Amino acid sequence: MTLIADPPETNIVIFSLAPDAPDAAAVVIAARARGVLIVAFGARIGRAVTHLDVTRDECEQAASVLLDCVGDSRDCCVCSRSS
Amino acid sequence: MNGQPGRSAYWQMIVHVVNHGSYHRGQVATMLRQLGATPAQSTDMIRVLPRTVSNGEPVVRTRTAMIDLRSDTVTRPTDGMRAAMAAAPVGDDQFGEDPTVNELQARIAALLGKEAALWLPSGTMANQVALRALTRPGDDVIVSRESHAVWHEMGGGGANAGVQFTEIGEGGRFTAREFVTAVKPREHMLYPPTTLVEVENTHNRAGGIVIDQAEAARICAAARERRITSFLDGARLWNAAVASGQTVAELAAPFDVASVALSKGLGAPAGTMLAGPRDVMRDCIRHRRMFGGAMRQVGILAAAGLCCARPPHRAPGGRSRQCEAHRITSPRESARDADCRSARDQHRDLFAGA
Repeated sequence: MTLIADPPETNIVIFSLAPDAPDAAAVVIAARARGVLIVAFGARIGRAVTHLDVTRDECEQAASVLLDCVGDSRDCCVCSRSS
Repeated sequence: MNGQPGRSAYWQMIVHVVNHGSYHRGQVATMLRQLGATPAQSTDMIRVLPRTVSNGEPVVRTRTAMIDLRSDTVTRPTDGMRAAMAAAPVGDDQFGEDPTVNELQARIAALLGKEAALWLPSGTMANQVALRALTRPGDDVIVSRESHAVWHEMGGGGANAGVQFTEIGEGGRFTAREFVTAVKPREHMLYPPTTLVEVENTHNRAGGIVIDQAEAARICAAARERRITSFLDGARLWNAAVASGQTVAELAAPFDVASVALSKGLGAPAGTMLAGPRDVMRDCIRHRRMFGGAMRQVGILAAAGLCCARPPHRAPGGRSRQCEAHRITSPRESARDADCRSARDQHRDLFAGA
């Protein structure tokens, strides 16, 4: 997946999906099944927004779930921290 | 007991009341489950206590299992906000008599460095009222690509204000030169006149980017030379202020009219403020009612907004980034952590005692 603004400047993360990744709607459903809610912002675009009511730990957890759901093999922050 | 008089020591009675409460909470939870509802995860006293003995600190919130990153609009009012809402003095705002609304409007006007401000129930209505008040049907409005006005207001610009949009630039930004090139002249038989330029800061669909302030100033100056009004869609101007280290007043200064939302990331249940010249705000009052957005004892909602609008407005550590977004996207850049504070802390700064 590719970030529209990389690195993010504020609290919004917009990502476009790689050609071999599922559609945004499918990613939304897969993430929801694993406890992470995001929105599709286009057929191949997703959005995640941080805010007052989510913690850093939850964001790390969400990152690892989202990377999994889009089939991206890069390490998530949780993995890189523990290694 | 069993209908008969009995005697117990005080401490025994108190322990019994506390202990037996858990028993009945358990019964209620079971009944709810049988009815198909999902009761609280825990009914133990230790989970109940922090909700009632908060000592002014934020109350422990019952978390759902979901991590909700759909939007920063999912934030809920803090306990401070709820208390302020309950205690707010109110009046009929359509007679201009709601003291809490009036205080919020005065405070936001001062915060944004404008003559006057006006409460609106939503960001979309604020943008629609601004469009309606600042243009005439058939006018041309210049905006950035993928702006909220074009993508997320259900065609309201066309339906409510009768304007057409020209999207320019790239990645949520456009330059003064691109703006000047796109302007259509007034009083010419072939063109719809450009009468409004709108800048969205931060820009949602471009990934929350912060607009370069020097460029914004050049755009507004070029607009003024051409008698074109400038409007700042500052739904997330607070975030731009945190990221850039500038005050919202500095960010709003070049623009004739600006908006700020109170329900995005700040926890207020509703409300976006428009701010600008007094005569424009007076005109906006008419359009707000025309759109069905004029309300009565709205101080109950404005009270929550007041909790967001207390000083200091300049968040400390101006170069800071919003860490949580980085956590999602830049897993290996942990070195950056030292340079940035969490979005949560930054939002707390904006609350300042709420």
